[in-house]
Amino acid sequence: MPGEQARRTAAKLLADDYAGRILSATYKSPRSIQQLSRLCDIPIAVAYRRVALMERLGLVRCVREDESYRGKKVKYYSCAVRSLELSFKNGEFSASLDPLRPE
Amino acid sequence: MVDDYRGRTPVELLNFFRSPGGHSLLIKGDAGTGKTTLALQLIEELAEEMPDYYMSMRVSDEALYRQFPWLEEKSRRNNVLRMGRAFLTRTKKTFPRDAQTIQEEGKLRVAKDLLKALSGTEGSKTVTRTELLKLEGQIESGEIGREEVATFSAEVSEESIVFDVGAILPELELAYDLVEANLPKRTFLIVDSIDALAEHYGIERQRIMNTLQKDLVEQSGTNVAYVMETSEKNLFDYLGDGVVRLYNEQRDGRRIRELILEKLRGLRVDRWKYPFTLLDGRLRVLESLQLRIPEDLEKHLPVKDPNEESISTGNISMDSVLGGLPRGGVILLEVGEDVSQEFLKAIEHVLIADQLSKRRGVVWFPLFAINYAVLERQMRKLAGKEALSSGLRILDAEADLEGRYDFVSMVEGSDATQDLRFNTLRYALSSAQEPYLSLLGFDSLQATYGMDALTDVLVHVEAMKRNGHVVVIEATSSSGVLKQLAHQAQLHLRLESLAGTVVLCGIKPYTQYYYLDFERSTGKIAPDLVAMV
Repeated sequence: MPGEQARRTAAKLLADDYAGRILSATYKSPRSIQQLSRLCDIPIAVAYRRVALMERLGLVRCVREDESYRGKKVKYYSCAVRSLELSFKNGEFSASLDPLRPE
Repeated sequence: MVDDYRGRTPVELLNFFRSPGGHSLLIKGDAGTGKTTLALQLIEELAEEMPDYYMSMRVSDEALYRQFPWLEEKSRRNNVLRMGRAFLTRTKKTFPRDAQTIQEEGKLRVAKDLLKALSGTEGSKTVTRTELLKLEGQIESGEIGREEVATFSAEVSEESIVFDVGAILPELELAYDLVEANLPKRTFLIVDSIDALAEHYGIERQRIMNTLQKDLVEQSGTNVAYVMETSEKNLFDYLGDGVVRLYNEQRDGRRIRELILEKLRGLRVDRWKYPFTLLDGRLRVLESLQLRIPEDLEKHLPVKDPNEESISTGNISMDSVLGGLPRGGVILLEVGEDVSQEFLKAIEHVLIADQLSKRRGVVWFPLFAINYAVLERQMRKLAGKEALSSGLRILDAEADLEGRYDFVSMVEGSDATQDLRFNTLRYALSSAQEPYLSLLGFDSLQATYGMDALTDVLVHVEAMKRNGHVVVIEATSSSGVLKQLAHQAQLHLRLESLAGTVVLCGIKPYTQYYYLDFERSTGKIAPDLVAMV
């Protein structure tokens, strides 16, 4: 995603409570999307879309992929940012990230 | 309430699900119209023919468990199955397969057998999951799902147990597993409600319905019923094989519930509209009866008068609703034009039989023509020959029956004041006890004595009242003097037809509608009054 569009999308996401819940839930330990749906009380299809968008923006990253007994792949995501800042300057919103280095 | 009372479900719906192949049904209605009750009753009725799975998004519902005691046990069982399934879908590492992994796989095999045992069958067939896999794939890729923005904040809490890791749509996947485990038997799946499930998943209702229609209904012969939280017609009506709509309306402040069979594909529907009641928490459709008073009747047992101020109607159920008929009072019984005479006859016969059984006198100017031979046979069965002869006097100005029936008195038919003269009638009933009952068919009185009969009739009415007797006036709804008669009456009741189903209601005092249930009265003609609630 181009930088300007990414910043705008990230700013929009910061106002989204679902994104906030996902970041909190994945900060200390990796979670699958099914787990996030239940823990954060987000409809499953919405959770998939939100996580996909957050991954594109670098807010979360996939840290592991396991296989369930029916052969399905289950991805686990971790929070990828230490802090996020939203600012309004010269008539525009913008967001800045402080990324977490992968271990 | 009888312990095993299960309500009554339209037989058309049962036949719909019993017919070959899988079928899908939408049960639509606003909140509180009885959708869940209907769905659970369908499960009950079909329980011995097909296994079921009630998929509910409710947390728990004590009121439902009270009405359907088996539901709590089934919910618990489904929870066990869900946990068992979650155990099976626990993630596992594939490589390297060390001793621990092999041990875990062994445990999984055992758990799988347990799941099969819990679901009760060891069916070898499989269910088609094409559409379900397609749906899950599209959810995973983010192709579908609403653009939803959370507008409130909530605490994120950690749960110690997380279920269904690996399952994207765990409720649906469990349904598929159960359908598969039940094969080759057909499963009856209820989704209550499709709106809640769609919201829970964040996907459109029609997508879930299309998925189940193609995989389960069409490919696996499953019966599916969806509870939908609206009564409005919409595009979803095209997705199901059948649509039933539940309505809750008001007429003059009285509740009317109607069940409408909008569509039942492949089935002939003779009756598409049913009034119904939710009395005692069960849905019961109210049949339209082809009532016929039999000649072979059981002896009427006298019913105790409710109190000193009133006499019994002869019907315990009716007495409990109305409180009996007031002594020294006037009761107007209004009869709708589309109400069969047999219903009025049933009320009349029981009222007269009760009076005669107590050796009391009855004067009767019938609303409709009577076959005296049939009436004689019926009344002899109900009240006995002696009570009939001494207590009943039917006033007839038309037929030449002098001496043929001792309970028929010929009258001139030109002067109502003379023919209904109180002292004359009291003399005719001298061997009967009081209070007397005067039962007057007003439309017939007008036909006999002219349109000004009211004034003359009122003279008789006043005399009866003064002496503490009871007057019941019957008039059709089209009678021109209905308002004046209603004004005279302490009690005003109305018999009317709701789409062919006959009901009774109190105009004065005001009551709800009551269905006349003759079902339990074989040989008896005193209906139970079933409230339309």
